[in-house]
Amino acid sequence: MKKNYFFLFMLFSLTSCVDNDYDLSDIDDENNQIGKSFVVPIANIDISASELFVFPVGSQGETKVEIPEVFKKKYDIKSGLGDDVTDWIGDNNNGLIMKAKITNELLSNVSLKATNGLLSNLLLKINVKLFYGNGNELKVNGNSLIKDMILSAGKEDSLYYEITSDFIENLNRADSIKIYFEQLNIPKIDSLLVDPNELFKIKLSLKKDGGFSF
Amino acid sequence: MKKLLFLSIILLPLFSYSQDLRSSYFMKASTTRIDMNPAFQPDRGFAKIIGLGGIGANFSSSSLSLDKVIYPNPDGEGGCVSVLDSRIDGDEFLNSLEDNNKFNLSFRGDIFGFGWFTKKQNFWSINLGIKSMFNSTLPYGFFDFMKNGNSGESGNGKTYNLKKLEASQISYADFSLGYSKNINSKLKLGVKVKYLKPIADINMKFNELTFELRDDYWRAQGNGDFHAIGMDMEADYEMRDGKETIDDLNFDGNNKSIGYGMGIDLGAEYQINRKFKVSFSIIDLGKLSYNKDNDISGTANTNYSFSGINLNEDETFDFDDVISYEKIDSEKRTRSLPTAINCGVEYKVLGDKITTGLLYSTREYDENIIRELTLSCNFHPFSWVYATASYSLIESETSTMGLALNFCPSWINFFMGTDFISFQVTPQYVPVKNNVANLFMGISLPLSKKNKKI
Repeated sequence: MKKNYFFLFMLFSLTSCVDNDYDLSDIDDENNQIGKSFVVPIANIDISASELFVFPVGSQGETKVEIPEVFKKKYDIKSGLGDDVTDWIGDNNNGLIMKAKITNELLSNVSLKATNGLLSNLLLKINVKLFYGNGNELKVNGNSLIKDMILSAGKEDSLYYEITSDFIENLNRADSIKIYFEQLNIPKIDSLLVDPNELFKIKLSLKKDGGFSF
Repeated sequence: MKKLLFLSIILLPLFSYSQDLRSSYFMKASTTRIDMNPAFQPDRGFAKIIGLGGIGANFSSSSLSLDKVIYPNPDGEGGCVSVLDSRIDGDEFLNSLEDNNKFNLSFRGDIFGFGWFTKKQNFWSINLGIKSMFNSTLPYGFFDFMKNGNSGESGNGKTYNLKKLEASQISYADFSLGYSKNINSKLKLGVKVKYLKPIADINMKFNELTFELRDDYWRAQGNGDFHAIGMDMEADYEMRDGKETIDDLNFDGNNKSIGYGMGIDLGAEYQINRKFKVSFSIIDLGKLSYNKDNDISGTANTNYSFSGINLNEDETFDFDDVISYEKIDSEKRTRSLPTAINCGVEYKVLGDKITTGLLYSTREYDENIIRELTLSCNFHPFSWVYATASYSLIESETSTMGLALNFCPSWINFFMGTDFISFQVTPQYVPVKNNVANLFMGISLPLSKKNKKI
């Protein structure tokens, strides 16, 4: 019997220091996340002056610019990012913020300044919509970024907008994600010198507070 | 391509602790100590139980132990959480890291093995086993990114230097024939010849790799190499910018032969007097040689910047644009086995009941040499019980205690041991505070009565 006691003691010594605080069968992974916060560049959109304004035919040397109608244009983000990226974004729908950094390179050249003083404001609406494959809109709560831009030389501004969880939850159901740019007002411009190749740049990035879950 | 990156994160580099149980070096009944010195003879012949004759696993990390990665639930609700839990600040974890953190995981398993004595008490053995080693070197920046993301204090992202990111894996089958001869009453000499059949060898290494993760752009710059060969491994290639690149690895091959290897172990044991015995061995002298035709090699020179897809041009983001491996000409590659040297001195304190031993061992693997000094006390209280307690110094930096037990009644031989006793383990017996761990066990059937001459 003494032999058996010896073995039991040896085996017991291997089990006497079990720490149940480190029970690997009971790991809570609900709050796991990669990183504490990220900023990820997503997309760039360049809108040239020629898309915003009309340049009268036959002008020589100096070009007079007119703004006959508001500018509207849409782009599909989902096809550019791919399903893997949007799936990942869709799975991480807390604290997700879209940052629109808007750089106005119009009028960045001093020689092209308006001839009649400062320009009035340009109100730009950025709207993101989801669509099914058949073209029908997948309606979610609003995601409009409305930015009051001032058309002054080389101005850069940025805007953070919290994307609604409703939008994110519907992200993967959509076949396309389209971003709309809509000019809401017509600035009062008496006379403007504009290079048609100058750009109005919009840089979209995602800011994620709280990291990405996995 | 994603699989390649996944492999680069998970698989191994070039650093490995011994695949043997040092605590059993002086344990006479052990059937696996002959792997550390072919001159050794167990006290009886054996037939290893198929699949259970000898199983061992090693884990080592140059910096991390489990308690730096797993934490008790901060809400006190029982259970535990990982360092990636948002409630863990991660400072303790990050502060424990080195610039380059090495991880090793190795396995060995014997499929079958036999050992028997001839009439002149010389000992023969054959063994078929599988060995596999996984290593990786992960720079500090990798973990910093995982825990903190790219929002730096400056408010404009961070730059991560992942230079020396490295991963590799080696697996091979090992068929050996061993012979230990009693030259005279004091000297035994042993040799073991090994024929090796490689299963897989994957190596990925970046000489330079920098990720600049700014708010406006993410940029990757670096260069590295990739080599892979495997019995069932084939590569898919695709053309990118006019160059043939490795797109993916698939494992649907035909289990083809990818090469061979030869190795040899040499050993000696000498009884100086009634009390002292010395031993010496060189283990795993040899090489693995791979077929040129099955080699998959690529080189990556990345200089990729991403500032967002350009929606004006219907541009799309492609992960493979970040890092892709351009196919390079295959070459015949070889890999040296991780050669080990063991020097042992054993002293009988109380006959065969209690002995003490000192083992100095080194194992060389590529450019790394691991040196270990192990002091052991060996007990043989009953005819069918052997027990060893050991104390080891590894590279003069880490000290560990080990324990091995061997029960060998007339009908079975069972051993179990570790070189790294942990005084705090999880309910699953994973050490909490050790950054090195191993566990070996084996079951075999005795084939003969005890050899009294040993």
